[in-house]
Amino acid sequence: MMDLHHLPNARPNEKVYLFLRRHWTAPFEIIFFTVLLYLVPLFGIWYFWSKIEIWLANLYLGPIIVLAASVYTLAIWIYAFLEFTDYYLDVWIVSNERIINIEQKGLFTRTASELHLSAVEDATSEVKGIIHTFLDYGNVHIQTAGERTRFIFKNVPHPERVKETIIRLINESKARHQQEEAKMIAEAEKKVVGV
Amino acid sequence: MFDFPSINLPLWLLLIPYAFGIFLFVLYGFFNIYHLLRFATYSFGSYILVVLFLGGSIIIGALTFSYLGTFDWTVTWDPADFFNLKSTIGI
Repeated sequence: MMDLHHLPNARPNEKVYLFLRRHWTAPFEIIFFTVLLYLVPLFGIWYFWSKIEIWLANLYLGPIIVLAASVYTLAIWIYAFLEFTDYYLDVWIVSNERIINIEQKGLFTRTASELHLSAVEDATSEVKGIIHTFLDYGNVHIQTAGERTRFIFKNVPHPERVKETIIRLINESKARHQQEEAKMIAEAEKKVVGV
Repeated sequence: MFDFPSINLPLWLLLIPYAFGIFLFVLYGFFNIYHLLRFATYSFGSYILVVLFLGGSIIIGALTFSYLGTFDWTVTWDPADFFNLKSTIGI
C-alpha cells in the first residue's frame, strides 16, 4: 500500500497538497446500478410470488432457478466490486514537487506516471453540462511543453480550485528552483574565484 | 411429428458450469482484493471494501448452498421434459 506521508521516491521536504479521486457521483452510479440490477429479479419474485413455491419444489426447475439466481447475484456482486475498485484505485496526487497519476484500467492494466511541476506549462479546468456545473466537478488538463495534454484528472471535485492550486504550486516550484540554481551558480563562482 | 430422443442426464451435471462460474468469481475476487491491498493508498477504506465484499460473498454462498442442499442431485433429467414443464409449473 502507498502511504501518502511517504510517497515513493519522495524528494526532501515534499508535501502532498491534493489527493484526488473522481467525484462521489462515480461510486453513486455504481451503487445505483447495482441496486437496480438486484431489484429487477425481486420485482419478478413479487410478481410470480404465488408460483415460486411450486417452481422451487419441481425436481428439475428448482435447482435450475437456484443456480441461475446464484450466478446472477454473484455476477452483479463481482461487477460492483470490480467497478468500485477501478474507481478507488484511480488517484491523482499533487505535491509541491510533482504530479502523480495512477490509473487502474480493468483488472490487469495499471498505469502509474509522474510529472515534475517544473515541466508543467499550463493547467486548465473544464466543467461541461448541467449536472457537472451544479455539483461542481469536471476535468483538469495538465499541459507540458509538448502539444499533447500530459495528464487529465477526470471528473474531479472542484476543478477550478484544483487548477488554481496546481498553478500556485507550479509558480512556487519554479521560483524555488530558480533560487536553488542561482545559489548553485553563486557557489560555483565562489569556488572558481577561490582557485 | 418429430420426437426428441430420450436422453437421461444426471441433474448434478448442472453443477459443472456453475462450478466454473464460481471459479471465475473467486479468481476475479482474489485479483481484485490483491489490487486493493497492494496498490491502494494506505487507508481504512480498502479494508472496509474487502470485508464488505467477502461478507457479501459469504452470505450469497451460504444462502445458495443451503438451498442447493435441499435438492436431490442424483435424479436423471430428460431435456425433452423441458417442453412439458409448462403444464407442470402452471404458467
